[in-house]
Amino acid sequence: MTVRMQFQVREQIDPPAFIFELEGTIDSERSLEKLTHYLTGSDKKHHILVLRKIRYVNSCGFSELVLLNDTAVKNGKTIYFVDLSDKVRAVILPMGGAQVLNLLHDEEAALSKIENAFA
Amino acid sequence: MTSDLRAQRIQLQVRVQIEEPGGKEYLGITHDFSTTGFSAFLRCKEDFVVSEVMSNAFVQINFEKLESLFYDRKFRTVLNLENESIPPLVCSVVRVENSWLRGFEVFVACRFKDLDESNRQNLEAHIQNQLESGAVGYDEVDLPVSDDDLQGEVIRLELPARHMYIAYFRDFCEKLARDVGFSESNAFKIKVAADEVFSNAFEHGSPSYGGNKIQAKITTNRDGMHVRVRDQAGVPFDVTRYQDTLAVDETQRRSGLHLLSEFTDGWWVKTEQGMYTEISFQKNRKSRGHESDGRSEPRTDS
Repeated sequence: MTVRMQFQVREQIDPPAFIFELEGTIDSERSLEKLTHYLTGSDKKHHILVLRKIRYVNSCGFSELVLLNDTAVKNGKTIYFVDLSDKVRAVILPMGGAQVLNLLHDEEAALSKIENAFA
Repeated sequence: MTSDLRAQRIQLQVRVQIEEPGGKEYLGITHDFSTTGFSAFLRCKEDFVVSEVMSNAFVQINFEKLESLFYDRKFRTVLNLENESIPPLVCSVVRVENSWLRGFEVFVACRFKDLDESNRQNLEAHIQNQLESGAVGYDEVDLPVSDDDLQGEVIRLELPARHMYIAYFRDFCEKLARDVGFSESNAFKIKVAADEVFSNAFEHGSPSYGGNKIQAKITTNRDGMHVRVRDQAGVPFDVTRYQDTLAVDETQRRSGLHLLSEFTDGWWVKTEQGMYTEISFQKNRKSRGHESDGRSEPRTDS
């Protein structure tokens, strides 16, 4: 199974968060395997996933995003999914993504939410 | 066994009052109902859309913007049935379509969230009465299930049942759709639908390392594109789970097959147990079933 998704990570000091910039496609059961390991091992509560460079998500990829989010919640962490392209949004919304994922417009909106959580 | 996986819908017009939490009220009319009564298509009046659009300062309206405007909104709806009393129902918006043929007009697909058993029975009885009296009819969907029904240029593919070919297949279908004149938006919808049917054949119709093949037949013609994907397992699956195109499970999530309902003009399953399961879908260049009422294909590309 080929995984066509990679990511880069940035650390935000204030408010504290890890920001992951994802690139590629999320279309298989193992697409988010590395990211899940990274995220569950992180020492921060808040994480932002920037999906601007994700070209394609299918229903399997959507399930992986939900699974990643569920894993994070179980570990006391929060994930904000931001900057979705129209094509990614077109798949995620009909699948019920807005009900199960924290979808926000952009990174700033997510940081603002995190700041409020610390206020 | 061949099944039409669209829920049966009837063309039932019921006046509906839509209330927003902020106190705004709009009037609309249902375009059609699923026969279970769980979901409905609301056709909202012009001022409904215009006031929404103005208040959000959108200069140019397109489908995605409308969709994001309405998505996940919850409305209280009052159905004005003739002889039945149903208290206000909360409905969640699950899909939005807009018309470009007759000015601003919006169709909101919604699911009734709190329809309890007795009200559901009231609604179902009302629908049945209307059907029996002949006042309303079914929203007919053409079923191109026979090879004889389909004419046009045919492409046949046989691919190994391996995960890597899912991407090949969906990309091929998207490119073909563009090349035969589909808009970028509809070509993308074909890509997603092709992915789902091929993935389904791979996941459920192809045992690991079994050396299975997946066959595909793509027909393009003046009407649009018809895609069939057949596995070699013939394992029946519960089609009823997917019959109501607007239904979601208790976790508020839907399966990939619901994307087919969302993105195509119909999809069908044919199973010969132990031999094959074939899922096919049709994407029209122009939605024939919706032309008469002003609903058109959403345009997202300029």
